Amino acid sequence: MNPDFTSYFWKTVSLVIAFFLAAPAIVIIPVSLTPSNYIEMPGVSDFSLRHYHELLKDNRWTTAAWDSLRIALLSSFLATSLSLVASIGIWRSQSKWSAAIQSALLVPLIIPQIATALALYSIWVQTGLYDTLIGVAIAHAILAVPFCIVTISSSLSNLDPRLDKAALSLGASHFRSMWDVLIPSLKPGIAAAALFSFVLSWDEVVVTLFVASRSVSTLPREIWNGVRENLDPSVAAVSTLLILISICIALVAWAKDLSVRAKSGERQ
Amino acid sequence: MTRSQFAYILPVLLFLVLLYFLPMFKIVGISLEFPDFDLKHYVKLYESNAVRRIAWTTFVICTATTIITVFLSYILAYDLRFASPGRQKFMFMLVLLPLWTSALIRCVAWLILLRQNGLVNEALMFVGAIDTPLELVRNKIGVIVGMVHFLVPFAVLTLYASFRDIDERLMQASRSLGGRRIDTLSKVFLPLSATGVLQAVTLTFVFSLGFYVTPALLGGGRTVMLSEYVSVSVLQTLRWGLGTAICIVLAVLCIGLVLLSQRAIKRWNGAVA
Repeated sequence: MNPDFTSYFWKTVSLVIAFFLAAPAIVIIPVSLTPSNYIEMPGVSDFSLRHYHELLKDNRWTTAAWDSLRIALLSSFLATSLSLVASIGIWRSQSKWSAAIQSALLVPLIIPQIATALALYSIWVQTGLYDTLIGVAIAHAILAVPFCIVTISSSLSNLDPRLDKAALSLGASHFRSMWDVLIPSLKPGIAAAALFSFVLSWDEVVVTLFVASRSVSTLPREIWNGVRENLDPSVAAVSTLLILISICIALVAWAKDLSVRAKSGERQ
Repeated sequence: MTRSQFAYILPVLLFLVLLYFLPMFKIVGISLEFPDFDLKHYVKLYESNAVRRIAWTTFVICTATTIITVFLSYILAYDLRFASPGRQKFMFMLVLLPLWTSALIRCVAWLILLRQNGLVNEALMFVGAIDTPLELVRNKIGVIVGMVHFLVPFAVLTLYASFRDIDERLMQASRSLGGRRIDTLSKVFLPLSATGVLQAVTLTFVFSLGFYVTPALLGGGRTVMLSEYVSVSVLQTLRWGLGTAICIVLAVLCIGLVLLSQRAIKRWNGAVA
């Protein structure tokens, strides 16, 4: 076979696979613009924003959006700050123990989410965290901590340890050196961790289904209920909004060259 | 480790130990009927026909998903490794786009595409390829499509990272010595990428064992995997013992597979070096 032909063949195949990956995001956007009550592709000229108008008027969706936003911000702050301080501690000590601690902190990555969900559910009910905003935010932060530690640690590994040692030997406290020397040089890593944990919380549904019930509703949870009851265009419209928000965050990250870093930090 | 260094690690340790590891131990306790040490729920797992059937379905789906995912990802990652910078950028965008959309929303989109009166069926009927709509969701096909779609980006990133470490000059050497393309690929590139493939296989399989959202939505209650069965056992039939026992088995399996594959990779690297 002609080598050029085979190489073109495989290149086409890989392009097709890449489009398979992008297909759902591409399809859901026009569907949300249908003027009809049912899910279908709108005709070329009859796009309509009516399902978006209905979203804004519907209490269910606006409350869920507000809850989601608060939970995501809180959980991102919690996960990023805890992980930042811990990663610096691990990086400074470089001992056998810190390596062991680091691998223990990554365990939640491997355990199936349903196990985490059950475990948190059983404790959240006892401690009064069940069905509260803070409870959901803490649950999401637990899921995000391993990712944040990986991301920030990989950023730290590019940092010269002598910077920290110089600051300490010149009389700075550990805290002062972290605040004035390390954190400024780690900004991209910290931003990646914060963005990533925000998106993780913003999209999370499995654990949320278990640790919340009536009084806290997040957007993914409402979408979940919507899909199970009946799939209508308003679900497509919310999904489109969520995709667009995620893409915007990804673009911001991309512009700052963080996106690949955050996502490749996802595995150990 | 000095005391002040430990003080930095302490908050996250407390946070995870109190709010994650302790609850985990609690469900281990529930599955063993703590304070007794009763293995009856684990025995029931083994004896129950329903659990066996669902475990088998889970295994079949995970295996199929892993094979398809790694195969597709290999093609993509290979292309990305040797693509021109422009093409590489474009392809990476397509690969990373789904990573930034949630599993849930991707399921919604797949439902829209694959259901009985979905876009794929309508398009196929419009073209005249089929007369009656195909059953593409509420069965294994739907679940596998959704899971493969979720996992390919992860596998591509894993494979791409390992392909990048392969020295291009080895392939040039093979070709300049008269090796055909297919020889260079199968005798030079493929063996060098073995550890990457093993990593991707482990990652995909371990991830797919714990899938909940995709099977629950695209399986439509007819194709049930273990995670969904756990949720039904606990939330609807209140069988905490059974549900937690399944969780523990799954978790142990996942950790075991990861450790096993790490050891195999170490041994392989040792053998090569």
